[in-house]
Amino acid sequence: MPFLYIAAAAALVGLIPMPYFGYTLVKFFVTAACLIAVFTMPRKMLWGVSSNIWLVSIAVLYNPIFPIFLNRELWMVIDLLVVLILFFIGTAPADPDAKIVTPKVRSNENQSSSTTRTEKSKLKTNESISVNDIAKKIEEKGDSFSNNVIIYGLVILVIFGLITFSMR
Amino acid sequence: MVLKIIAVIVGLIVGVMIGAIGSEMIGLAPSTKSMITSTIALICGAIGWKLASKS
Repeated sequence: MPFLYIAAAAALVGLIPMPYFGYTLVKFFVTAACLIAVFTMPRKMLWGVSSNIWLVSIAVLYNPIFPIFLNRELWMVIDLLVVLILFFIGTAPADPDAKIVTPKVRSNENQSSSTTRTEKSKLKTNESISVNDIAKKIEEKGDSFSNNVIIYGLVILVIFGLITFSMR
Repeated sequence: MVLKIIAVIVGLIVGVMIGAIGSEMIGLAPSTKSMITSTIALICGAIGWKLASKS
């Protein structure tokens, strides 16, 4: 858990104007802290997406090996978003249903007695059901997320417009 | 699902084009241009997802 807050603090440091080497250090710290948090933290769910996916995405975005070049203003927005996401992940409760539904492997005793084709087909159907369930969940969450993106995107666009025209 | 993903990608591309052309026409500063372009791209991507889910 502390690694999340280290990553958030490093992302906040990225808001301060400094030479390019400083930003590379920030990227290194955020990436390292996110990757360590993936392996040390209990899995959580944030907006229907696993915390591991969020953390790996942030690590990819901030990776210093193949850096992504964006302008300063966009990096500031991304820094703030990342801080918020890390904070939400840190405060979210651990998900009890986070374990992936996988077919249970039978013990050796049972396997030797009855590993028939019907059981194998049952395992396959279990797998397909779990995959379908995951796809349905992704679609449901995507629907609600797209609604939010449209509404908040329009609000942000209006705010940008107001700021731009008030600056002139 | 695949259709929705394709719709999102097409929406993002269309959004980037609309945002880039629109902000160029309005004559925004380069810093705000990218932010408005990315916002419009996100909105268009979300609209693409919604349209694909309704069809």
